[in-house]
Amino acid sequence: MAAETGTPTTLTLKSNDDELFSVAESAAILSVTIRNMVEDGCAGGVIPLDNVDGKTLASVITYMNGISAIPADEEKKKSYRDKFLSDKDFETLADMVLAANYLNMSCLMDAVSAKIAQVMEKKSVGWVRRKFGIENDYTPEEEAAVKEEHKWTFEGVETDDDN
Amino acid sequence: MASDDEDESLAHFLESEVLSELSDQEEENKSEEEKYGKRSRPEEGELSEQEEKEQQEAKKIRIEKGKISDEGLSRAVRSSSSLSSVELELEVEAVQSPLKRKGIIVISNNNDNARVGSGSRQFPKRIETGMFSQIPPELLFHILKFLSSEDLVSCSLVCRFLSFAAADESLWRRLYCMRWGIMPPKSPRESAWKKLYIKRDEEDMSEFVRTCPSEFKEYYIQMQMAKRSQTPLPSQVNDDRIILDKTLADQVYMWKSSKGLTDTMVVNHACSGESCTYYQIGDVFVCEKTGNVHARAYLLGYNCDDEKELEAALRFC
Repeated sequence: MAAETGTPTTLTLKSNDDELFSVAESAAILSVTIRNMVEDGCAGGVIPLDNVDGKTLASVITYMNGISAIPADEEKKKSYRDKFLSDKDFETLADMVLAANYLNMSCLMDAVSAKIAQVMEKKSVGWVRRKFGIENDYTPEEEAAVKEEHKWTFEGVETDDDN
Repeated sequence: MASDDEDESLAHFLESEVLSELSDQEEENKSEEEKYGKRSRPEEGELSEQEEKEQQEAKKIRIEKGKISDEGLSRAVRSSSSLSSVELELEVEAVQSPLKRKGIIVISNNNDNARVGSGSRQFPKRIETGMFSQIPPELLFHILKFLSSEDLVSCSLVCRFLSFAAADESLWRRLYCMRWGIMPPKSPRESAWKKLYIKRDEEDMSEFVRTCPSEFKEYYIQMQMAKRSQTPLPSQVNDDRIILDKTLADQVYMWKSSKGLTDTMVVNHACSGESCTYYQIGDVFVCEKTGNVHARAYLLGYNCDDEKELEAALRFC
């Protein structure tokens, strides 16, 4: 009985840099944050999204529209997500993960997180440091210790003694 | 094996997390209560399963705090987050039932350490430099969920924070269970999931190498190595969400109604220790004061060695 009556079918979202976007409510409520607002009847006017900039919001809305246009077919949704994220650079992915979190959109959140993880997959330590600009804050001793610990772990395959 | 130090620093981190999260969560709880307070009027009676799910989801407070609450936090933070953080196991459990009951009770070592507190070396709270600096730690945790054991090990060599983050218990528990199923480690507190994983991996490897025909040795080793690069699927990553099966949900609902408890969130109440008693329905424990549902005692921050100790701990919800 919450807010069914007279809810507009289009919502207006405002980014933190004051860009306005119109979105179909059915697509926008993929965001639980927005859905809650709608259900509480506070989605009548402009919905300010203070943690999302215009560029990211535009992207998220593209996603909302795209994914909600796909009928309940997880395969197709997945391939849409893959395609949607395929051309995004790391910077954009980072923005999107923040936005997805803020908007509470778990499907986007998971997809973006997985994508970021994918970038790190099977990469050397050096590569990860360089690529993401992460400073090595280990002291040489610590680093040696950590290396030693994990070397033992995954290279201790010397079982020749038995054979 | 250098882990004492690590554990201590972890304790440090956890402590500070508890503090900062506490205040965050309080705020969130409050606003949530406002929201849900409105929605769950008595005349709405039948809180349909779907509604309940929605609530859960909404409360899935951002990036599952559960992960951290899993460890030491829960006791402190629990209060009204009931369903949201009840998470885990249940889903897995529904599928592969009775065996692992004990295994589940395993409490991360972190818990202990968190209590012991005060380590010497500090872990940075986040990555200070580069592109990851803009991603808050809790989101980074979520990203790490998608990595394989091999990748997590690489992460731990990158920098201190990643090392800390990539050693997270829930990550390794997931990887362990993916690879070997939920086998109860004999003595829960003996080691952390990461160590269990590593140990088992090593055992498997030497077993394989020992037993396989020597001409296939290379091949077996490669096969074995490949298992280390298995990454969790999105569906597996979300095992921290509670899935109450319908009959259970109904029972809980009925019990709650009979006690006059609604689904309204109760704030300022932490289900733990001496503050309340529980009622057990199937696999879950319902707080008699608030109706908050808990999947497992260990989520409440209890550290139990065996069923008996669990039983004792469960005298409180």
